[in-house]
Amino acid sequence: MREKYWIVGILALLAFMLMWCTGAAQAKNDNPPSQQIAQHEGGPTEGTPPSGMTENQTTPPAGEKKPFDGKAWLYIISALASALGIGIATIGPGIGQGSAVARAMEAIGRNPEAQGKVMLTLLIGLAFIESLVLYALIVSLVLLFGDPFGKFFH
Amino acid sequence: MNTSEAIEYYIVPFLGYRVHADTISVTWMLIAAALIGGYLFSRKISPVPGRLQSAAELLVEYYHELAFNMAGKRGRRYVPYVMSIFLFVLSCNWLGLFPSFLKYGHVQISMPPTRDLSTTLALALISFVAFQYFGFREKGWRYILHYFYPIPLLVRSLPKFLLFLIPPLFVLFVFLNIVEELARVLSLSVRLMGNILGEHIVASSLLGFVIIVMELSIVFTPIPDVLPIFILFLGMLTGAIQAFIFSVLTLSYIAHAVEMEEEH
Repeated sequence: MREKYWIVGILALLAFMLMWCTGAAQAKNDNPPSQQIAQHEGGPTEGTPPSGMTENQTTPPAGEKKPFDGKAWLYIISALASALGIGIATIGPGIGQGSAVARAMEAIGRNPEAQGKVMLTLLIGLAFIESLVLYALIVSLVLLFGDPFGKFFH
Repeated sequence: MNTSEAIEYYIVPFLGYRVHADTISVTWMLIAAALIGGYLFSRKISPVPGRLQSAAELLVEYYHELAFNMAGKRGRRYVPYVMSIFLFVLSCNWLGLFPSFLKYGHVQISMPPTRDLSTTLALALISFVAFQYFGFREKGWRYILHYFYPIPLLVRSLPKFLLFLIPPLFVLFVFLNIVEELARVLSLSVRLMGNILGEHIVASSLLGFVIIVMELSIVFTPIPDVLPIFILFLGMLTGAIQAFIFSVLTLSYIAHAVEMEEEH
């Protein structure tokens, strides 16, 4: 199939051009032309802890008293919701995984030479069950650290 | 503290997009290393295998056996794609266990590129394209009828008039099957990303605790020397299992897409 690589090249070129067109349109909406240089850099630096702020957040000026308004309640309830969410989400899959492992051990005990197939099926089943917890974990992390509703209060 | 640093990325503007430069640089270096390593390794294959070749043959034989159990004789042609995914995801996951010269909070551990939803979603979308491609290649245009049936009907064995009679009855199943395909993509990507991200958060929190204990230096214990070993073990186990699960699930979905009646 070595002679078909030029197809891949043309497809990559088309994808690149598509990215260029859509990306340029997106950039114009994100930044007005006066701010296009010196984009904010997040992430790691040598020796200093990275700042946890993304481009959307603004700091209140230092020394000003922060009012206890709807924004504070939003973050309080978000913290509570994220903790409760992931806590409750691990109950069901925990029981399910315990039951799965119990049945698998029973099956191995009944028929020790099928151990390879039983363990493989057990692992795949455990991964399926585990992914249910992970959906809840993602939602919980987004609520805590992704600030999804902050834009309604700024 | 370590959680909010685990979900930050080194953002670089590229073609108008904001691109995660840490993820992309690591994955492209991995691809280059895999290509060069594979090419150099393939020149030294001999009929009397050395140690590295025997180990590699073990892995490849295991995947061939899996593919044969799932898809029959034609399973062999799906093994290269599935093994590429396995090796790529495995090396990505294990890269998060090396020390790094960058400091994330207190801790100097590398970030695995699979903690980024971009990497895992890209792999899942490529697998999605692979399902459709293999389905169409094995069954021709009749693979579209897969979406019309409530059960994975084995399309080649039905007589022709029945083939065109049944879909109008089950038109609503198109939506169900499309949702199922999208749910597969979502579950594949989020499973891998959630496992690796969670493991990385736990590992960096534990290592941060170790550093705090060392900095306090109130009690001299061997814990700071021994704990990273367990963290490494957990990380390697989770990474290997998740890579294996991703590849085996991809193989299973491909086998589901191409199954024919006469194989069983």
